Amino acid sequence: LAETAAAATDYERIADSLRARDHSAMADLYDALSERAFGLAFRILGDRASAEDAIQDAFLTVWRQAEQVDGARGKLVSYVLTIVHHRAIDIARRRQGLNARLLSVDPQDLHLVDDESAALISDADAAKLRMFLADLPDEQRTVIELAYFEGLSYSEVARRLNLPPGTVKSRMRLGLARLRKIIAEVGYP
Amino acid sequence: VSCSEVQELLGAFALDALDAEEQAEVRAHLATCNLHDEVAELAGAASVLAFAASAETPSAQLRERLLAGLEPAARPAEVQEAPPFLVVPRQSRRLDWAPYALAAAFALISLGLLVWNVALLSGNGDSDTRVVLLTGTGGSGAVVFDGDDATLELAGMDALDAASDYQAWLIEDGVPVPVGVLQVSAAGEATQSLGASLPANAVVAVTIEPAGGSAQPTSAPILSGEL
Repeated sequence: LAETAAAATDYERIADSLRARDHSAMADLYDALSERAFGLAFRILGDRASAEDAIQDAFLTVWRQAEQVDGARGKLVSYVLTIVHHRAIDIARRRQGLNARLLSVDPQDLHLVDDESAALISDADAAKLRMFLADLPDEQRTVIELAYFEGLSYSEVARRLNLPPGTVKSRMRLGLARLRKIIAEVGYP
Repeated sequence: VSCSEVQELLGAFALDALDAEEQAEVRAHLATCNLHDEVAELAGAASVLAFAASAETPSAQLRERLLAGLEPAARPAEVQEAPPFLVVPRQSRRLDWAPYALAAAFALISLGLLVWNVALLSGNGDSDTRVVLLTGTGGSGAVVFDGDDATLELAGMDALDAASDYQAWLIEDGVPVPVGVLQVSAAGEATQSLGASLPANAVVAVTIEPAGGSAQPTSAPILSGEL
């Protein structure tokens, strides 16, 4: 259901309505993204109550920051999911007694997301994306997953895997570059 | 960090896997250097990772709870009198307070990180690094000099309504020059490059302006400091 729901959603209109403080826009945004957001938070946190807390907090943040939302293709989806990701990671790290790391979602950083990836996100086919990830060499996928799903910094990943930090840095970069290349080659939709 | 070090850190940066101070340094470097186009593609690939998790359906109550808790965005003047978290209906359940407690915690941690970051920079014996703290009523801020390059760093900034923006100014001999309209993050943080070779004794100030910024300040600074 949610695997393809994103394709039919008019995010430009939702972004405009959010900026106009229209409550129904929030309902539309929630309906379009809640399953995706909840899946992400649940994968990180492993329990439903914490995952719901994370996404409730994230959607309220989007509402409070509505003037910053960008409805351009994929950007709003990316913004919402980045906030969900950061909230979930902070809850997970606190639970493990680690310091909070991902404090802010800087909308400027989201402008960094290239248009092709953003377009891909708005039309995303999750099954295909998982297949792309599976195509990465194990050592690259492992460092990327530890950073993304456990919220570890590259130096924490290096300690966890007993690798030099420089190796972890370069695996992250090469892995993402490779993922990006796979995405570009296969293309969407 | 040097340009080549930034290049090596781009993957970790795109994954948000840098420590806070490294992240700030990379961000500041990217704002002034156009040799790192790769970052857009890496950030794009990283943002796609959100889809690697399978979609799951949250409880129906969550939707109801979320939509019932929406309030119009606070205007700056209202923030003092009625912070939005005080008017959220809290009759319903277990963790209604959680987002607000988290938000408050994030603001405190942000301030702590800023001060810590500043302390690190001040205390590392590197004579090229200097910090000037701003004073005022809204949030907290500092100008961090790395050699000649100056960056304004803010934390704990209140969210503004859609009709307003924070704007930074460089005031030299009493003449304010607009430096930039600030993008404040969800956690209330903002960073603005002030460029190189700032005039000595200039004042850096932050005001609240109509959205998009003004040519001249239209309100008193909420933060300011003399360099």
